[in-house]
Amino acid sequence: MRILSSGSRGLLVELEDTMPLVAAITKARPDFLEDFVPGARTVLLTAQANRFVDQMRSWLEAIPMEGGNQPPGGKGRQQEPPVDVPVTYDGEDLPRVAKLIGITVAAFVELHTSVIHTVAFCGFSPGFPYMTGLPESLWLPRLTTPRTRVPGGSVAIAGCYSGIYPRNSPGGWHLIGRTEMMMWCSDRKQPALLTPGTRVRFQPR
Amino acid sequence: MTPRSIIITAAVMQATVQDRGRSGYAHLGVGGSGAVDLRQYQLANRLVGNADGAPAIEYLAVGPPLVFEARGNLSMATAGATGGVTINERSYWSHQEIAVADGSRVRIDASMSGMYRYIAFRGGLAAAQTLGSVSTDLLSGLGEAPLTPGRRLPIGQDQRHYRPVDTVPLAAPREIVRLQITPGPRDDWFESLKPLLDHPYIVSERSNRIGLRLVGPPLKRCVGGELPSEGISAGAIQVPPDGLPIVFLADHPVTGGYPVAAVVEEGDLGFAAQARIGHLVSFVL
Repeated sequence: MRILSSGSRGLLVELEDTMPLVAAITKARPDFLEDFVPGARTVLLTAQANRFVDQMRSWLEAIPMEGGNQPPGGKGRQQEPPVDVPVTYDGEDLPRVAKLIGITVAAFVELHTSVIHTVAFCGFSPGFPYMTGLPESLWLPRLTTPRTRVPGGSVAIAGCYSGIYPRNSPGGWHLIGRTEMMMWCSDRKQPALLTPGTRVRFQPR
Repeated sequence: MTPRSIIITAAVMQATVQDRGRSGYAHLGVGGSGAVDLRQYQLANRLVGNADGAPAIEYLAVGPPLVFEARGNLSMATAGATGGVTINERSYWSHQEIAVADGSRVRIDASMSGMYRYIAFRGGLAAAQTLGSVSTDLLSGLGEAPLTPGRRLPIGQDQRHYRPVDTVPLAAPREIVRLQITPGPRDDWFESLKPLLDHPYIVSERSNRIGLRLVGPPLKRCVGGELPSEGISAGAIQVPPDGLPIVFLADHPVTGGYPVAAVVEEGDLGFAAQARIGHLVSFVL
């Protein structure tokens, strides 16, 4: 764990696995914390005010370390059952994606639905989940020319991630299918359906 | 009694409803948003006696003026970029409380001194909150829709939280906007931050509420490859592959894939937002 400064209220924590720290923050939600943003290999913590930054650093340093220099606490979250997301695998890019990888569409669907995905972080737009767990054989670079409009509900892949577009937006990921589950609703008590740490299982339909 | 309101009557480049913005939802991908120049937004509210945080209009004071009609007797003030205010052909100036009679036609002019003008009404705008804020987030589309002709904005209950202020001292606009920075978190991805500190940068016309885009000496990377996406602080100076810095403002994305060389002090972000296209910005440690 390495702690870097990000402005006068922020600390950027570098970790191999961010999940245990995300779980610890979600559980404790300390008063000094205004916001936190998990990334691929970091978690950014923002204090309510400059004067709380030292307290925030001490809190981070006091989290007991386990093997691999990782804070504990991720286990509780992992025991929650995964969220089942029904997907119609008819994405515009799916035939091309399968061809690029050198497998059939059916084999792609089999691979994508056979693993548990985990939301590593949200970004790009409210409620857009970056999910890890994609088998390495399915990793592809982003589209060279992003689409100006991707329909909300599109299930897509890029790099080591699967994602779901919560609303119509531009996008540079490969579209493999769509879901009718509502990823984002500002009026809901929990506006995002899938939050960092949530485990996801895609179900073909 | 009909509720008091204003009705927008002409199209502008950009006018939005703003307050202090959102917090507590960044981990879901929701940015802070809020007024780009918080100090001047706060001042506009203070001039009409509102509590801090009352919704006000943020008008990008470039191009056509913001024109609206008053329904009911109102009290208003503008802060931020300076410029004229005309009510029924009579001229006023910014940074003072002005009484607006029912039926008046109000024109807020574009500015020569800055980019954003704040228009606050006693009682505040009565606008709907999304995740604790009314603010229009132009990146995510959350919050109140940007203002277009025909839009009616109700004014809240008339109550004074502060005594009125008669005069506000105004600093003359600076030739060069100076922004204080803290290096990092990814300063070690660059050969040196010297270009940033040695030369002023020119404000590009591609600047907006998301970020202040600058043109000047590029920063040279010493670490190759891509940075895995990570959280971005307000005021972050992100450096894309062309080496030209972008200072992230209110509507910045919560995560980004380019290294952040340094972060501008939050107290200076209003000055950054108000820097006009073609003007100079310099960074100091």
